[in-house]
Amino acid sequence: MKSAVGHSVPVALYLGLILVPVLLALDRLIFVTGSNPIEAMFQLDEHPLAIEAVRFTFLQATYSAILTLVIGFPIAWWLGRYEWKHIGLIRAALTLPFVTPTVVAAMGFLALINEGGILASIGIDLRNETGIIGSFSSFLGIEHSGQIIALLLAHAWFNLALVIRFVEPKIATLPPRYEEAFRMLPVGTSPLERLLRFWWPMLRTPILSAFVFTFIFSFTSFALVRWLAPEFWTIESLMAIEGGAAGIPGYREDVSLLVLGGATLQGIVLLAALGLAGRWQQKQSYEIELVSEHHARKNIGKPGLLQRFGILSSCLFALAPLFLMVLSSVRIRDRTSDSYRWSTEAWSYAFDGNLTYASVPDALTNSLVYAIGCLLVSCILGFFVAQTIHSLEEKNKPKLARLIDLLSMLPLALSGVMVGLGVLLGILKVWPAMFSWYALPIIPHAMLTTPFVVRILLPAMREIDSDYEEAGKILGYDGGQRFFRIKIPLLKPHLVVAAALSMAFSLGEFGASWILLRSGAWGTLPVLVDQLMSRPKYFQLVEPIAMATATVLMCITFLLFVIAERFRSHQGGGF
Amino acid sequence: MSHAGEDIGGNELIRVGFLLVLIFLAPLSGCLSMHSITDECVIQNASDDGTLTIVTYDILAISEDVLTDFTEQTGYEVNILPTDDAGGILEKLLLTKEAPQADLALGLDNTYLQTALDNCLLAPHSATLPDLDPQSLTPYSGEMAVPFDQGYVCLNADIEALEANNISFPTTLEELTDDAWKGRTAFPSPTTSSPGRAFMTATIDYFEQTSTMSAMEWWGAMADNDAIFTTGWTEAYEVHYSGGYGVWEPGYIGDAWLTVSYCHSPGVEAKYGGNYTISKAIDIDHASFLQVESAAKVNGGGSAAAVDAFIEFLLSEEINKNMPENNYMYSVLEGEDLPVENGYRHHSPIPSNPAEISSERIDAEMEDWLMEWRDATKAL
Repeated sequence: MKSAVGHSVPVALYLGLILVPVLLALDRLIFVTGSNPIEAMFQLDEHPLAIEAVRFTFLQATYSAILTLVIGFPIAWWLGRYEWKHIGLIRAALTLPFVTPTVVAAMGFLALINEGGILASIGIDLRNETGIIGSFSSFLGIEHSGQIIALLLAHAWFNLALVIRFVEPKIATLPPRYEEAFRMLPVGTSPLERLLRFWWPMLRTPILSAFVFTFIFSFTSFALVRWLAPEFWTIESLMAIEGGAAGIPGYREDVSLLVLGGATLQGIVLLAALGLAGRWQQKQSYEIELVSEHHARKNIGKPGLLQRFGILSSCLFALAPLFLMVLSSVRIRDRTSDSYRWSTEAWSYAFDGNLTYASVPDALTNSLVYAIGCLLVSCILGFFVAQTIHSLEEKNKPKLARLIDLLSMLPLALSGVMVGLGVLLGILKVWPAMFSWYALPIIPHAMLTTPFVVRILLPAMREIDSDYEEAGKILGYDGGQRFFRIKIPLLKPHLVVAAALSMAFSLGEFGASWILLRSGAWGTLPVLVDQLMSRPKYFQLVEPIAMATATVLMCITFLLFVIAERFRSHQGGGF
Repeated sequence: MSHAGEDIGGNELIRVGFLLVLIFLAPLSGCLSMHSITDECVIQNASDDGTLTIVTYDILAISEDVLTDFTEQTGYEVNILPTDDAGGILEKLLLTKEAPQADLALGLDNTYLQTALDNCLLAPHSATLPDLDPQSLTPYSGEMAVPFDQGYVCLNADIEALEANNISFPTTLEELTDDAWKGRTAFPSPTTSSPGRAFMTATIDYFEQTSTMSAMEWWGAMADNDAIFTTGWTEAYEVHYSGGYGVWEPGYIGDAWLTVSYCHSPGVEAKYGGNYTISKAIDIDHASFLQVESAAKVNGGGSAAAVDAFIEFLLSEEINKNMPENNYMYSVLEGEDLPVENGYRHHSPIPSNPAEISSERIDAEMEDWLMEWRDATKAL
């Protein structure tokens, strides 16, 4: 009974943490609008921009997912098929974009497409849409096509690692004899037939999973849409910008209706997409046998010139925006002569905080406090939720285990802005004084990261041999001793990965923090970058200061990523 | 042998189910009592904690140095709760009405003030005030709010662009719906920008006073004429307007020859341009709006003495006289004007016949106007 309580309390706490704010927010919005969520969804057309935002959201997410696959698949193919020197470094370079905070990604792409930037200097002016891009826009009859191209490219850049991490391990670990055997068949002689009848069935699941996850991330993208495609609205950006007036009885009820309807539509789409990806991944887990990736690679041998060029280009593509962002923090545009000079002035301003209410050290302190708080909450809750699910599985209670597993994944169906609005409106309803509670942002951050912790720890717990537990009992260890002397040491690498990723995610989290902190006093680094970029640029250092702030955020996040990578196993795909 | 979680099964399922039901039912309890709205204002004061918390947007005049001066002079520490803009201040006050987070609201302008008053968000101050410019007290002169800066919002146009394209300065708003202006005007949205809201309010008066067309018909015609609508003043002025300092900024497009800004914005351009500017304010009767920004004690906030001290500090000669330099707005002190240096005053005309719309009417009709504006323009 005692251990049952020990199991159910953390599970209840976690479910409370993820469900209560969202349900309270729903209640508030339902009260204010007088509509239920489904009614509100069908009333979205009452907002003049909502239907266009819905259309653009679906289109850009679909095109982003397709573009990501088009760019990512050849890279995954080459990486998986050939023997590469420094494969770890190549993987790290190609994974960097995915762990980059979205606001840093936005700054990186702005640095890439800005006037005076590399792309503009070779005639590809995505920002002002002159030259080739202007002609392209006129030819297609699409306004602001430069912004759309920049957004799709940024989404592809950001999600490239998803395709690589889903697809490459499958290619690298497929027993070479399968392909050899297929080649011997009459239909196996043609490359097209091999592609359609051998590779597609083999790779269908990881490709479709990568497509769905890229679609999800692009569907809920906010910082990249806000900064790279300012002329367009997505459901997420519309809810974020309008959301300030949501949930106030008797004031701008149209906004509450938009947020309720938009969140419902987003929730349904994300749930459906996650359900689909979940089913595919489950199927994949028992489809075929796998071999060591070194064995498979050796079979094909070293890469040719085309492959080397392709991988080098993709690494440059992955690193260029980040490098240019750092450069932009020390490259100051002189408005009188329209020339550039090199200076670290912007860094001094960033650290002194002369232009904003928070300096970089202040915002970094806030970010780190929230990240550590998020780490503690998400790792402790995530550990016990995973432990409960695992324990139920071991005791042959698969239905209950599956139910808790599914509920633990719910936050993945919520976007950052939805979680931010949920916490803002939900908390305000029950405890308005919490609005000014310093630690408030830890709640949405923990809501968003705990599912990842569960996903990292649960497979690890399943892998631990139950003999260790029995050996502990034979040695006379009590429950606590077995926990601290056996379980924790065995899970240590996974706990470090979970902790580092929770912190990195919290540091870079933008949507929920923006909702909570745009009207709060404790700006985090991503919010500070956004505040700086939103300022009138009459002062020429404003943008370099934002770039310097984003650089600090990038460095801290990458440090955590390196820690996580050191403990991560590369034997499997996915995350 | 005892197993951890041995009884997990049917009972556990019921327990988890019960917890879920509790979680789902929790929000439904007390719905009605939580959302009750009262018509009467009860003025409440929280205790004085020695810290003054100010909810405000990014007001240039309220720099770190100014706040340090205030703390040194009065001993009160200041804590800033920043919001996006004046609308953000009102929304924050409304959202936290049941547990106010600030003692002082700084930056509510006269298009938002009445809504704050009607919702009992403000409380009377006891500060001793200097002689104020009577004009700044036109929108509101009671004890619930004190003006601290002011300025007229009006259309600005690019002289060079108009000359180059052989277009005369508009003397009516209707002219802007002509083909010559197609795609050449930029307006910050009234739903998300204070100057945008002020100008939209002015158009209500303009069309009521001078035209058979309604304001929303005109806005619809402007949308049909490819007017550019932006979420904020910054984007309209910096990115799209060809006559301002945006020309020096990354991301500048400069496709609009006319935008909404302050009537003294050309003066600010001249101040920094060595008495040179290609931007000019357009004085059309009823098409400009006097925007007055206020400081107000928050109902339910604390630190009353600190609030009064800050209002007195803000209206002191030391701070308020320098509003044109530090905040690019007019001072509210009687007898003050813009500096003449570098053509700041010369390029800042005072509208001869600004819009006249009462605060009460703005409060009563603003929500409808915003909805109609959105429907007419299909913009945010």
